[in-house]
Amino acid sequence: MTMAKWKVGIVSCSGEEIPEGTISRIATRLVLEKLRPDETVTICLPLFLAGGEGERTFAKLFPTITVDGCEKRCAKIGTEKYSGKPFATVVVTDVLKKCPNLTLKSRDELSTEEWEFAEKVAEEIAERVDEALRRQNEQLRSEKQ
Amino acid sequence: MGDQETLKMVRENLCLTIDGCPSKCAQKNVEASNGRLVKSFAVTDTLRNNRNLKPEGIIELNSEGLKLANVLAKEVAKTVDKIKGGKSL
Repeated sequence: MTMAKWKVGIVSCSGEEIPEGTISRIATRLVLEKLRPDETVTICLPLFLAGGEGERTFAKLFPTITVDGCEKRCAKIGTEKYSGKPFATVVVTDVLKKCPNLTLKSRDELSTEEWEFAEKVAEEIAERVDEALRRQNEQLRSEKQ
Repeated sequence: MGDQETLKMVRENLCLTIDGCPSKCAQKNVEASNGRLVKSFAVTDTLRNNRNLKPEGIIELNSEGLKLANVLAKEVAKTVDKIKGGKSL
């Protein structure tokens, strides 16, 4: 019997207006491609909102982590509206509060400091991925007992 | 999503959408919000017309990908100019 491997869906902000949107997308890609490539998939937020059934079903069945650029939290609200409560939410402006000397400016080419910040956000997302999978495994173990 | 500020913006201003794939989510979302959509662009069309430019890399686009983005940006800018000049699209 083939067991389906648990994956965590990451729903990123798609905002182009503010640098935090760019950071959200780059941090998400860093998780998908470098930090947790085997444990994560991305869910396209615009497709999710436009009625993508595959995306919505995935988010109902698997844990999701929303990555929002700002306090509007569109990724979180959209996920809650169409699928269910996300396992965790990372808000870039919240992470930015931990770096008081950093001002984000770029919306296309990131500076060295902005890249480092994107990596920091990515690490926070990766920690939530690990928590989600740990929770999932605990649940499976308790169901078997 | 229902953000009133954004809904007001797309309903009171002319909108151009740029979609990365044939699902055309940007176009669909503006239409579903009763926005004033005047033209839709698709990266796949730009790619079809510029087959020599092969975009690679997602975190960091390669130089061909950046060139392709510039081609599309110019197309969008031309449309903005037409709108500003009162010309038909």
